[in-house]
Parts: sequence; C-alpha cells; structure tokens
Amino acid sequence: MEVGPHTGDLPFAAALDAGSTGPTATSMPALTRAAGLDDLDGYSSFHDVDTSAEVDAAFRSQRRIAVAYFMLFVVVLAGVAVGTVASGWATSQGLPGGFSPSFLMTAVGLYLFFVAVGLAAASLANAVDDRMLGADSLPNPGPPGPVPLEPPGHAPS
Amino acid sequence: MDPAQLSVLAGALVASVAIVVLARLRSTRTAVDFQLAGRQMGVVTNACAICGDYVSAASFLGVAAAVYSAGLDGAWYATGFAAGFVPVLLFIATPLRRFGDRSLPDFLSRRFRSERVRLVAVIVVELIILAYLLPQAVAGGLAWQLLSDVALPGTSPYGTGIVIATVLTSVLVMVGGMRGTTWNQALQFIVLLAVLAWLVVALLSSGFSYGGALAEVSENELTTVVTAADGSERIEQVLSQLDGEPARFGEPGARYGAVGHFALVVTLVAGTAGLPHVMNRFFTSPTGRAARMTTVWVLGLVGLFYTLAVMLGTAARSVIPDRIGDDDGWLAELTVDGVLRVPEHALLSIGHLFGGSLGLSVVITGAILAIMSTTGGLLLAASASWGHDIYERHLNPRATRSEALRAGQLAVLAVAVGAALLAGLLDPVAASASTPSVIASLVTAAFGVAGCSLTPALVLGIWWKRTTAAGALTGLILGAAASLVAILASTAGAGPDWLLQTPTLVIGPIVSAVIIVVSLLTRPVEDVDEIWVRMHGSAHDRAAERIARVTLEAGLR
Repeated sequence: MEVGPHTGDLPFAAALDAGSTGPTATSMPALTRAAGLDDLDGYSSFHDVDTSAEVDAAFRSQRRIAVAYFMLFVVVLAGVAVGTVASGWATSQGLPGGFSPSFLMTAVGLYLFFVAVGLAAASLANAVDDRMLGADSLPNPGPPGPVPLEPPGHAPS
Repeated sequence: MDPAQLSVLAGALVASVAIVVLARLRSTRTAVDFQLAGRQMGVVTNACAICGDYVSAASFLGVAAAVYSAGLDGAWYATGFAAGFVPVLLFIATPLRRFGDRSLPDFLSRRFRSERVRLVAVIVVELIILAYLLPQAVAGGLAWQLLSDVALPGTSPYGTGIVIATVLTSVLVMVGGMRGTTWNQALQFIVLLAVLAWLVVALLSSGFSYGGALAEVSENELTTVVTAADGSERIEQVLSQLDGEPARFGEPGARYGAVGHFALVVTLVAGTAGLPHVMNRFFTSPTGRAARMTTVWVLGLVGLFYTLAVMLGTAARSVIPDRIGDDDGWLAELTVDGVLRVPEHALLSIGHLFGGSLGLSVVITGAILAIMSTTGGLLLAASASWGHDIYERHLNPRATRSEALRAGQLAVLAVAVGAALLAGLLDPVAASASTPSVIASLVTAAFGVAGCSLTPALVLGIWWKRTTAAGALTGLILGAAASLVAILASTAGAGPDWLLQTPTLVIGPIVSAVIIVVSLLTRPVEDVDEIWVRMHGSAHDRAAERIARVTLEAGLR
C-alpha cells in the first residue's frame, strides 16, 4: 500500500505546496475505511456531518462575505475604468517615472488589489468554515488500527 | 531552420513527452484518473496548472499585441483576464469542488437533477471549447511561420504550425491524461513566466525606462498598417472612439468607446467563471478549501504575468522603430515604416532584438508551450464532456473502464482536428487590421458565450436555492444563442461593436433575470437542502483532511 501525501505531485511542487492534502488515489480506499469513512466522493461521512441548520447559517455568512467583497471589487474596478475614460488628469503623465495614474493602476495597481481582495476574502471564508461548521461532529476516532484486507461491503467509485 | 533555434523547441517538447510518460506510469487508468488526476492536485501545483491552462496564446502573444496596437485599451484586456478570478474565488471555486463532480455539465445536471440540463450544458461547453481552441491553432500557425519556412506537403508554414500545435498536443493528452497535462501545464507556465522575466531583464539592462517609454510613445499618434485591396500597404492613424481625434498610446479610445470599455471588462470578468477547461481544474483539488486557496495563488501568478506582458507590449511600441536597422533586416520585413504589420509579432520582435535568433526561438518556444498547455486543458474538458457526460451517461451506461477512456481519447482527437481545420481557413494578417489582436478577439468571443450562458446558471445554481432545472435550461439556451448571434452579427458590422463583440454587459443580466423568473414559475428541485449541505458544508473537507493526517501518521511510523 502506498502511503504519504503529495505523491501525485512533482517533487518541487510538493516542497512548495502549503495546505494541500490527500493521499494517492490508490491508497484512498483503504485509508477511507481506516479513518471510518465511506465513499469520500459520494459524501457519506460516517463520523462527521454538517447539519442543515449549520450549513444554512454558514451559507448566509459566506454569502455576505462574497457579496461584500464583490461590491468592493466592482466599485474599485469601475472607479478606475471611469477615471480612465472620463478624467483627463488620470491619463496625463503626472506621476514620477512618467506614468499616468490610469496606466499605473491598469498595468500594476489593479493586480495588487485583486490579490489583496482574494487573500482577505479567502481568510474570512476559511474562518467562517472553521467556526460555524463541524461543531456537532463526533471526536476523531484516533490513530488507525490494522487496515482490513476486505472492505466492509462498500467499494468507493 | 537554424539548428540552435530548433534545439530550444526540441528540448521543450522532449521534456513534455517525458512528463507525459512519467504521468502514464503513475496512472491507475481510470476515467477519474484520466480526467481529474485522482483529485489529488496540490494547491501550488494546481495554481500553476490553472495559469498554464488560462494563459494561452491570447495572453502570451495577444496581450502584448493588444497593448502594442491599442495602448491603454489593450492593457485593459489583461486587466479583464486577471479580474475574472476574483468572482471565481468568491462565488464558484469552493462550492464547485465540494459538490464533487467531473465537469460543469456534470455539476449542473446533479445540482438541478436534470439530464436535459446536462445535454444542453455539453453543447454550450463544446461551443466554448471550439471558440477557445481556434485562436490557439491560429497562434500555432503564426509561431511556426516565424520559426521556420518548412511546410507539410500541400500546406503552408502557417498550416503546418496549426497541425503541429493541435495534433501533437492531442497525442500528449491522450497518453498522459489530466495528471500529465497538469504537470506539463504547471511547468509550461513557469517557463512562460521565466521567458517574460528574461525579456524584461534584458530590456532594463539595455537602459530601457518603462515610464520614459510610455511618455515617449504617448506623445505621438497611434498608427497601424493597413493593406489595400491591391495588396499595397500604408500607415494609417488610429482614431479615438471617444472623440474622433487621433488616438494616443497612453489614453483610452484607441479601440473602444466609453461603453465598449465597460462591456469588454464585464465580458472578460464574467466569462472566466464559465470557462470549462479552467473550472474543471477545481475538481482536481482535494478539498473545497484547497480550491479556494488555489485561486488566491492564481490571482498572484496571473497578476505577475500580465504586469510583465503589458510592459513588453509598451516596450515593443517604443523600441522597434529605433532598432530596425540593428536587426539584419529581420525586423524590416515585419514592419512598414517602423510599425508591425501583425501585432502578434511584438513579443517575438523583442526576443529577436535582445537575443538574436536564439532569443527568437526562446520566445517562439514559449508561445508554442502556451498554446499546448491551453490546448491540452481544452481537449481534456472536451474529453470529460464527451467521455463522461455523453458516452458514460447516455450512449453506453454500462461502459467498461477502458471503453470510457477510449471514448474520451477519441473525443480529444476529433476536437483537435476540427479546430485545426477551422484555423486553416482564417487569414490572421487580413483580420488584424480590424481588431486589436485577432487572437485576443477570438478568445473574447469564447468569454462572451461563457459569461452569457454558463456563468449565470452556475452563480444562481450555487447561491440561490430556488433556481430550478427549467430556469437553468432556459438560461443556458438563451444565453448561448443570444451571444452567438451577437458575435456573428458583429462580423457583418450589423450593430455597435460594444454590444455585439462583448455582449455580456447586456445579455448577462437579461439571462439572469430570465433564470430567476422561470425558476419562480416552476417546481423547485427536490432535496435541495441535501444539495446545500453537500455544496456549502465542509464535512467532506474535514474528512479529506483527516485522511491526510492518517496517511501522514502511517507514513511516519
């Protein structure tokens, strides 16, 4: 049985990767059974579920986050576009180095803004998942015992 | 053909083949492994692969070309391409992965419990794939044409490049599947980034000043090469769409009016979420959280890429007229009075100026890798649609593992050949006079269809419980049909370009409203609460993370 994460990745990618998870596909069946789970892809977790109420509450929070950051994204993007088209000042080479505010924002600034929005939204969304989901899950079943050779009657896809 | 030039391309192709062979050895030869690499792609690897998938010839050659020919308006192409991943991160990536399907039609079908939605979605997906493949094949022809005048019997060098770019890539995809394609895409993107970085370093080392060049090219009026009916060429001023005056590089209006500006950005931003080859990559992430973080990495990587591409497009406009005499006549053949005939030659010209024939071959190799990486992703998306959504689900539900694989592989070949044939009919030189970059414009058409049809159905399906199968079906059909009619009408000059070439600004909201109205009038999806728990809950993620901990603990013992 193959063990170890990242065996599907190139070595350099495995060294760089942060936060990625998952065993190889060939070890998945045995390991899902060892961890007390059924078909992972078919979502029928034996030990750990989300209730409908939990998910609805988390969903509403996630929706607020997504909409808020999307509005910020739209306002800034539209603002730069409007400034580019409507403002003579925005396209005059008034900044140090010979750039215009419009060109500098379009060629560099907006990309930095996109990354900042992405990081902030992702961090907040991850925090919502951590705090609002999984509160009713059963404790971790502990370290795995010997892996059974025969599955308990369920073959994952 | 210079042997040194050939060696760069040959080296890259040998590396690609080696990667595919390695992937084949690791493959379990299941359809899930072929289409989704076993859903085990790490965050950074997948992010690099998504960038390789997304950054096609339209980005590598086309953005610099668009900036070269239209200045600030061209730079907005790049901004629009990058901006599209913000809505993907906010609205699509995590729920899409958590629902855990194999393709966009698969997701939509299971979300709405409707096989009719699946079938219509497959048609829309295939249209988008073909529209996106076509410019890749065109770019392959252009790139080969510049590298060599060798031609296959019965074709031109342009036609030979098309065949090599599409057929070779389809063979690699058929052999390596998603795993091999992912590794190739990740490495190819890193090579593309390295090529752009090398060009920028070479420019800066020669004393180039970005701001200074921008100021210099903005002082003069923008010009373009126009070919008359008798074949003669002349330089013409580009007139601003905003005020009719001569356009300038650093000012808007060289290609778009005020509304057209917004329409372009909306089309590109909305279209990204509906691109099947990009969205399918999120199904290869192990968890929804990994898909979310992958998108953050993508924003950073594409941002860096496009920053460099815009700079190089600006540099081409500034540097080429002054350096024509330095280049042993190579540049003079591509230009008329210092202006490139074909804007897509901008990046290639910079490579030749600062690296000679070897520099040119490096850039051409980069272009071919960009073409191959995107083509590979598109062909895999086609394979998922035909092999899983059509063959396994409808034509042969009892298909064996090898039959399903074979169906997907045949789909890869058929789609590649179709795109090659269409690309062979196009004359990029004649088309470039009417568009900022013929490649970028063709890609924009694909974004238009995606943003008008798939994106509204996806966003509403993920974030509004009340969306029904009938609503989604209506939206898909209406969005695809309306956007196609608009784009085709634009080729005949049947209306304003901002509406017809970039239709999402108008058609997108209309389609969204129609989906909402039809959904309210039709029966809700059964068991939607169960769907919601799966799509917006994180139990699957927690389970996968526990598996990873178990794996690590077992490996450390």
